Amino acid sequence: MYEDETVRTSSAIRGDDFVLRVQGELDADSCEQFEEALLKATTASGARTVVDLSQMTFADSTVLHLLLAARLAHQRAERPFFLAGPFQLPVERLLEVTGTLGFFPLYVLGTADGV
Amino acid sequence: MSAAEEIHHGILRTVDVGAVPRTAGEARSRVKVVLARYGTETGRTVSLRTHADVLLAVSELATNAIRHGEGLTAFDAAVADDTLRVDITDGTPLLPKTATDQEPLAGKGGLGWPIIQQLADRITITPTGTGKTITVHFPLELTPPPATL
Repeated sequence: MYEDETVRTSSAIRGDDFVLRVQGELDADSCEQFEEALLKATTASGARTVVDLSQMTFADSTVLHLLLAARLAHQRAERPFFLAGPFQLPVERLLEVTGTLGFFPLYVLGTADGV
Repeated sequence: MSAAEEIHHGILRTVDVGAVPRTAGEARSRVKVVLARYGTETGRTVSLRTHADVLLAVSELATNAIRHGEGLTAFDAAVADDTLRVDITDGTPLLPKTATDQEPLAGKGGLGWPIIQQLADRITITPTGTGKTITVHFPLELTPPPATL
């Protein structure tokens, strides 16, 4: 009788940013598409990968592990990797509590133009 | 046990509070209901930060039980003395892995249990016949605070 809040992953090129956006509550049961998108991002077009977490309403360590793995893969691929906020409180707390808030470079995305 | 209603983004959902959660999301929903009921009954609501923290920790506990604990077999959550107590039973007597067992910052795992430890103020682990019950106490920031005379 429980419905998951809809999780959506989408990507788009905006200028020379490859923006990967994820929306909704992400945990071990709902992150598969996001994981696949992160794996593919190292070979995406654009000069950098920017993961827009501003519409992620919840994330637990499953998601953090994916982000850390993506960060490492991008380092190995010599491709810049950023997170974009602003982070909603549950996401900010995940990063704060794990001490990873300063671990990811942050990118400021321009105003959305229909991604 | 009766179903409880949870208002989430304006959509009324039914949460069966008697059933054992099958997913981390169901466990989080159960705790949202417990906290909401507490707010309705006492007029005291948890802070946004506490709410976020508790749901994060519960998600970690449930995920551990389901994915690494041979299944989540019992779950209970209740508020008493400004504390949320969560009891979660799984099917293995083995203890949760901690971050020191692996390389957590490489993204291979191991960050879940340290999160729970960071957010809880008391954790006890009780063996059951085939598994264990993890009891976690979370201090709650509540508004308004308790009345002082």
